[in-house]
Amino acid sequence: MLDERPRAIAIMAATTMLSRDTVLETVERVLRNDLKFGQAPICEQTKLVGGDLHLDSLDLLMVVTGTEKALAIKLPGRRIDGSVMSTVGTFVDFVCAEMSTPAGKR
Amino acid sequence: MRVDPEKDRRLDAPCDPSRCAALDALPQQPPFRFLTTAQRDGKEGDAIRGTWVIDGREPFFAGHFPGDPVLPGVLIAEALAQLAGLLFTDPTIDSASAHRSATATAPASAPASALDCAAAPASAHHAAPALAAKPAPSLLVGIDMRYRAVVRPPVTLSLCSRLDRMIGPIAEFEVAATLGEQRVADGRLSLRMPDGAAP
Repeated sequence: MLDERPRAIAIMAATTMLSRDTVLETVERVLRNDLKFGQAPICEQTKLVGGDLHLDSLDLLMVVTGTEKALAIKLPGRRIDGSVMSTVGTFVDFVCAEMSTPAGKR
Repeated sequence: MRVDPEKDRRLDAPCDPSRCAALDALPQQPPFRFLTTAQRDGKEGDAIRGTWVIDGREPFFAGHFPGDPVLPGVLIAEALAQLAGLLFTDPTIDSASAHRSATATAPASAPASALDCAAAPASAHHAAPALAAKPAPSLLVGIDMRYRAVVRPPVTLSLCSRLDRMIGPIAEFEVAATLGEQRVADGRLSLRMPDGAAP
């Protein structure tokens, strides 16, 4: 974030179209590896808040930052609310929408 | 592009000592307050910058390391976290008592405009904390820092913390510490804010 290399990676990522499946796999990997859910059943309908995984606010931040690092992107923090972080699928939708939006229009 | 170079540059801008928040609003007090000046910045008030004047007489240098004083990196992170917490503290809260307290500990020759943010004199580093009730502290819950240079006293560190996002009560900040033009540390800190706190 603070030197030229990550910036270059971000530019590359911004110009590379990642499929929704790739984003979904990435989020699942973050949940399994970074948040230690291992082989727990995780799918698009899995609830992040309450219910299935029961993540707290710090866990949700780890999902966001872990996904950013894995995909070399920067998500707009001010727009990440409860509806975005409702399920794995809603978060994946948000990431895909942000990645397809030109930077100047975010 | 997903990294804003303007925000990145803002992390290195110096603190203007004439525009300072009242540091007595901080829950942390000497000898565990690692800020000398602080001021809000940013078009949306999302950033705060400050300084930490380090004269070499701080007690931790006796052990870190004996005869070879090096500023502990964790204390740079702590200073940046304290600065970040100030973003959620209304600097107008209790400003009158903060001013009185600062007046009591500032050198007699200190200019009035600097009283609210002036460095506590070395003799005040071990002063008893003020008895006034402090706001509930924000608590450090995440650190992702890189340290790029060794810092030895005496120095004045320039600090900047910029609010990047909030998820529930967790606020994540981009932070940086510089010496002159040299970046000595940067990274991200996450703080759990007290109930009802807002930048």
